[in-house]
Amino acid sequence: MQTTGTIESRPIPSRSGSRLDGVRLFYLRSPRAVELSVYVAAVTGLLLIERLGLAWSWLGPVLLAHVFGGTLLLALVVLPYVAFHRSRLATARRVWVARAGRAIEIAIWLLLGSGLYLFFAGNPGALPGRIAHEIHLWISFPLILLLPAHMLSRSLLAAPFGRGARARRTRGA
Amino acid sequence: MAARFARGVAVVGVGVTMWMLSAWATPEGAASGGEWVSQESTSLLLSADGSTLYSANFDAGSVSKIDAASGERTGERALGRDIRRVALSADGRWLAATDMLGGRVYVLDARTLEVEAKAEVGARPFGVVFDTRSGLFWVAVFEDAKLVAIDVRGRVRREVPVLETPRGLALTGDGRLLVSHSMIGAVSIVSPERTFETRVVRLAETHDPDEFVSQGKPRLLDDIAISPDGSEAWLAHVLWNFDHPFQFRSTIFPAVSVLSLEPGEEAELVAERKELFRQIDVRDGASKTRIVSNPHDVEFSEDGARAYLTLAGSEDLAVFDLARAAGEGQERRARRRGKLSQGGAQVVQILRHLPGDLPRGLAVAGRKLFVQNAMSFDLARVDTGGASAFARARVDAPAHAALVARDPVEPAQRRGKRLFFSGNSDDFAELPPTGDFWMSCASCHVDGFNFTNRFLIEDTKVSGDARVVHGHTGLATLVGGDFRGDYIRMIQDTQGGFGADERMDLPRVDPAAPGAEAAEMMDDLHVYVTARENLPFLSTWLRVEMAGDDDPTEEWTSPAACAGCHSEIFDQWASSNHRLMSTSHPYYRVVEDLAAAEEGEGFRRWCMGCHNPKYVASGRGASRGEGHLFEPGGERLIAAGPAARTLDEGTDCLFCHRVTRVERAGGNASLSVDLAARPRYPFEGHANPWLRYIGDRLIESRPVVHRESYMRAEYSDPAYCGSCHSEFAPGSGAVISDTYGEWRDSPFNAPDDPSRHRTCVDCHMHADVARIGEPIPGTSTDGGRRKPNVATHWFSGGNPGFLAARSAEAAAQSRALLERAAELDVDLEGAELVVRVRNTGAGHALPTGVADLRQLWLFVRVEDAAGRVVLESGALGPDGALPADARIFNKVLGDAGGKPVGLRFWRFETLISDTRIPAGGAREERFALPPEAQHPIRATVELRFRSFPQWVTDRVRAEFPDVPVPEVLVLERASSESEGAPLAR
Repeated sequence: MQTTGTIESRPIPSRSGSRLDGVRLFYLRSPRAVELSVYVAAVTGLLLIERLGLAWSWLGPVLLAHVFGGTLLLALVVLPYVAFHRSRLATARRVWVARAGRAIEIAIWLLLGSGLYLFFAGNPGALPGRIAHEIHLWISFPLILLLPAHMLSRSLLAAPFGRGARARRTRGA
Repeated sequence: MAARFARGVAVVGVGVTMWMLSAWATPEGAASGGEWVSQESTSLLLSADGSTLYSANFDAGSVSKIDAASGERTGERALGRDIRRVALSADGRWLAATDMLGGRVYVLDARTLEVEAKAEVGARPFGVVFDTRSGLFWVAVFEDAKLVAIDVRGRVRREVPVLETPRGLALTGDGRLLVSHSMIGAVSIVSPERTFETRVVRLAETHDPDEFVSQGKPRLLDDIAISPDGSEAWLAHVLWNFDHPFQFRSTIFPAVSVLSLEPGEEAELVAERKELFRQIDVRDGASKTRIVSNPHDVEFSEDGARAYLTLAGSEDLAVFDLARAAGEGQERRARRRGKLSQGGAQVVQILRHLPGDLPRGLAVAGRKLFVQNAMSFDLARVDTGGASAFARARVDAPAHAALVARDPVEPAQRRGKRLFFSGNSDDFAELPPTGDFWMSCASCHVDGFNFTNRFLIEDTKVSGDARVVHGHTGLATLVGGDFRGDYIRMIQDTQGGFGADERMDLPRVDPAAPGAEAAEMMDDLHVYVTARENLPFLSTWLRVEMAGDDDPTEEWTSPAACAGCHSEIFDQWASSNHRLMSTSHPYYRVVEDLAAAEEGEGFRRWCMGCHNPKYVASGRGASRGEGHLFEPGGERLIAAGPAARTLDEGTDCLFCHRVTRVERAGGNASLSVDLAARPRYPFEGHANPWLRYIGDRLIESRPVVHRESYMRAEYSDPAYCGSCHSEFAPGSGAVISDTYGEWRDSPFNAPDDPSRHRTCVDCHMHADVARIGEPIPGTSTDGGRRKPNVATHWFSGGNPGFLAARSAEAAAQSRALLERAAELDVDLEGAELVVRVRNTGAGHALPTGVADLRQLWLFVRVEDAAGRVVLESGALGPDGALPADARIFNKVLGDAGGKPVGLRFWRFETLISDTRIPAGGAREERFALPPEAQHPIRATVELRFRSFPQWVTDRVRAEFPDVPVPEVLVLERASSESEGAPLAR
C-alpha cells in the first residue's frame, strides 16, 4: 500500500467558461482548506472527550466552536469540495486513492448526519443518541488518518512529515 | 561494535535501575536514612536548625517565614481562607499547609514560599505531619473523618477512613501515627506499617455529684505533644459537663490528658489528667485559684523537665514542672505522710497574661519559647528561665515578630471574632464578656458555627429528663429580632459576663438598654456570627453562594427550563409538597407570620431556610405572594416560560441539585448551595429564545457536564434530606424534630443488609409505593437512558392533604405510603381490649416531622351482642376536634414553664409527652370493657391519621377561609370478636 506520492489524475483546468466552473475551480484549488477544516473539527471534537477532563472554562467555548465551526466549515468548505471533487475520484489512476476518497466521503456524510442528530436530538442517554455519539466519535479517527493518506503530497502534513520534508532535511544536511 | 553497544545498554540499564531503586527507597522529601522522626502537627513550626519559624496564619489566610533570632518576617505567602497547620518535609525543602475552609492542602517551596502544588482533600483539613519514611504528608480531614496522604507534588496517594473529627496528628519515633478525635474524646494510634490497624484510646468521661468539681466529657482535642523520651503524649482539651443546665462555673473545665505510649499498650493515664483545682491550681494574691480557659497547645522543654500550655481563652501560659512530679520513692514517703499529690506534674506557674490576642501555637528553642497569637498575628517570646526548679517564665519580647503584613479581616469582624474567642476578662475591663476567665463562645462553638454543632446536641442528651435545652435559655427573641439583647443574655447567662458574675463586682448590663459601648460590641459580634462561614442568615444555617449581587433573582433558573428535558420529573415535583410549601401553603404562612410576630422579622428565616430558601438567598422578606395551592403540573411556571426569572416558592430543581455541601450540624437547612460556581453551557437559559435553543441543544449534545454539575452521590444520602428534616430551636438547641436521627437509629438503616436497608429515597421517591424494595426501571430525562431504578419526585409522605387537587397520582402515592406504615393487632384479653400498633413500614417514628401537630390515633368501637355500642374512643366531635381522651400517638412540646407550646414550637424547652411509635417498634393501648356488655362482643379498631388538628385548621381558616379541612385517613383497620364467654374481671 502506497501512502505517499503525487495524485496522478486529471490535471485541474486552469481556466473555465461558466460561473459554476469558476466556483468549482476555486474549491478544487484549495484542498488544504478542506483538510484544515476537517482537522479543526476533529481537534475541537476530540477535546470534548470526557476522559481528557478539559476544564469547563475551556470546554464550553470548545463545544460551541466544534458545533458551529464544524457546521460552517462543513457547509462552506468541505461539502462543496466533496461535490466538485467526486467526479475526479472516478478517474484516479491509483485505486487506493480513489477508494480512500470514497471512504472519506462516506465518513464525512456519517459525521454530518450523526452530528446533526446529536445537535438536534441530543444524547441524553437513550440508544439512538448513544449510537450517534459513537458513530461521530469513531468515524473521526479513520477520517483524519485517511485524509492525509488520500491527499499524499498535497496534505498539510506532508510538509513536516512527508517525503518532501525528508528531502529538505537531506538537503539541509 | 555489537558488544560495545550491548555493554553500553547494560551500563545505562543498571544506572536507570539504581536510580529508580534509590528513588523508591528514598521518596522525595523523605529522610535519607528512612527513619521516622517524631513530630506533631502545629501552627508554629521551628526548622530543624532552629533558625526559622514557619507560621500558619489562621484566618489571615497566609503562611509566614520568620527569622527566629531577629523576629524579622522574611516571607509571607497568601494562600487561602483559613490556614491552620504547617509541616516540613524531612529535608526541609517542602512545606505543607492546610486550608481548613478552603478544603485544600498547599505544598510550598519552604525556601521561597512559592506554591508548588495543591491538593483538594475534603472538608476542613486540619492537622498535618510529614511521614519521614514514606515521604508523604498525612493530613487529618476534620469534617470528613479521614486521613489523606499526599506527596510533595500534591497528589493524593491514600485515603483512610477514621473515627469522627480527626484533628491533631503526631508521629512517634517508631512510626506510630497518633490522631486526636476532637469531638468524641478519643485518640487513634495507627500502626507504623500503615496497615491501618488502629488502636483507639477513649479518654475517660468523669462524673461527680458536685457540679462545680472538674468533670465531664473530653472535647475539643487538638494538638498532641509527645514527651522527649517518647513515653507519653499530652493532649490539651476541655471537659464538657452538660448534664445540668448551663452555668459557666460548672460546665466547661480546662484539662490536659496524658497517654502512655507503651507500644501496643497505649492507654490514658487517668490519674495523671491535669484538671482545674487539682493539678491546675495556682493561687492569686487573694489565695483564690486562678481560673484559666480553653487550653490549646502543649510543648515540652527540650530536656523534658517542663511542659508549657497555651490557654487560648484566658490568654495565659501555664508551666508544668515534670521534675517535681513525685517519683516512686517519693510517692511511698508521701503516702506514708498522707500527703500524696495525685496527678503527677502540676502547674507551677501561670503567666498571666501573655501579650497579644488568642495565644495558640508554641515553639521551644532552648530557653526561649515562642508564642503565636492567632488574633493579633504577632509572636511573643518568653524566657522560660531554664531548668532550675525555681525558674520563672517571663515575657522576654512581647512583640518579637509580626506574623502578617496586613490582616485581611475587616476591623469590625475582627473585633467580633475576638469577643467570640476571648475568655480574658481583663481584656474588656468594664464589660468583660466572660466571668472570671472561665470560657468563651468558642469553648462550645468550635471554629464558629459548623458541623460540630451536632456534637453539642448529642452531648447534652440526658435520659429521663424532660428538659431538652442544649444551649441558651431565656432569650427574648431567639436572636431573630433583637440580636443585641439576646447576645447579652447569652453572655450573661452562659458565660457570666457583662456583670452577671457577681463576684466581679461590675454593674450588670441591661439587655434591653445596653448602652453604646456594649451595643457596639454586640454589633461587632454580630458581624462575625453572620460572616460567610458562620450563619450569614442568622436564624437558618443555610449558606448560598451567588454569582451576581445586583439582582440575585437572576441566579435562579426557572424549573420550567428543566421541564424541557425532564418533563416527567418536573410534573411530579410541580405538584409535590416540596414546591408548594411556603407562599401558597396557608398553614405554613400562618406559622411563619406567627414566628415573625413573636420573635422578630429576622426569625422568619428559620422557617424559610427550608420552606422558601430562594427568598432568603435573594434577600426577600416574608413568604408573601399569589398562592397557587391547587395548581396542577406547575402550569404557572410553564406559562411564564423557561427564561422567567420570577422566584417561585419552595425548593426547586436548582436549589436541591446545586447543594454542594451538606453540613451535619443537626438540621435547620445546614447545607450550602452554590450557584456561583455552576458550569453553564454557552447560551444556557439565555433570554433570547433562539440563543436559548442553541444552549439547550449544546447541553443535550454533550450532557455530561450538565449531569455532573447537578447530580452528586450525596443526594441519595439520608443526611442530605436530614439537613432539613431535622430541626432544632435557635439558641436553646432543643431538638424539635429529628426524622433523620430516628432513621439513623432504626432497623431500616442497615447498609450491610440490602434486604432491610431503606433510605429516604427508597420509600419517598419510589415510583410505586406498593413495591418498595423493588427497583422500578424508568427514565429521568426525555429520551434518556433507561435506569434500573428511577427516583420519582412526588416526595410522597405524611401530608397528602392538598395533593389530590393537584395530582391524583401524587395523593394516591402518599396515601399508600401512609397505609403501609403501621399494622394493627387487636385482642380481647379478659375484660380489656388490647390494641397493638406496630410501626412496620416507616423508617422513622410514627408520626415524624411536626409530630406535635400530626394526628395519628386509634378509633375504637365495641358493640355487644345486643348491638349496643359499649365503648367508643377517638371519634371526632361535631366541631371536628379530637376528644382529649383519644389515644393519640404524638409528641407534646412544652415551653420553659412546662406548658404546651401550641404553634410556637420554636419555644420548645420541655418534653411533656412522647407517645410516637419508633421505627420497628410498637405501642400497646388497653381499653377497659364495661361489665354490662353482652357477649359475644365485637371490637372494631381503626388507625386514623389527619395532617393537622382541628384547632390549627380553625386558626388557619380565620386567615384563609377557603382552606379545606384536612381529611381523616384510615390507615389500618382490624377487628376482634369474643367467643361468647363472659368477660373475666
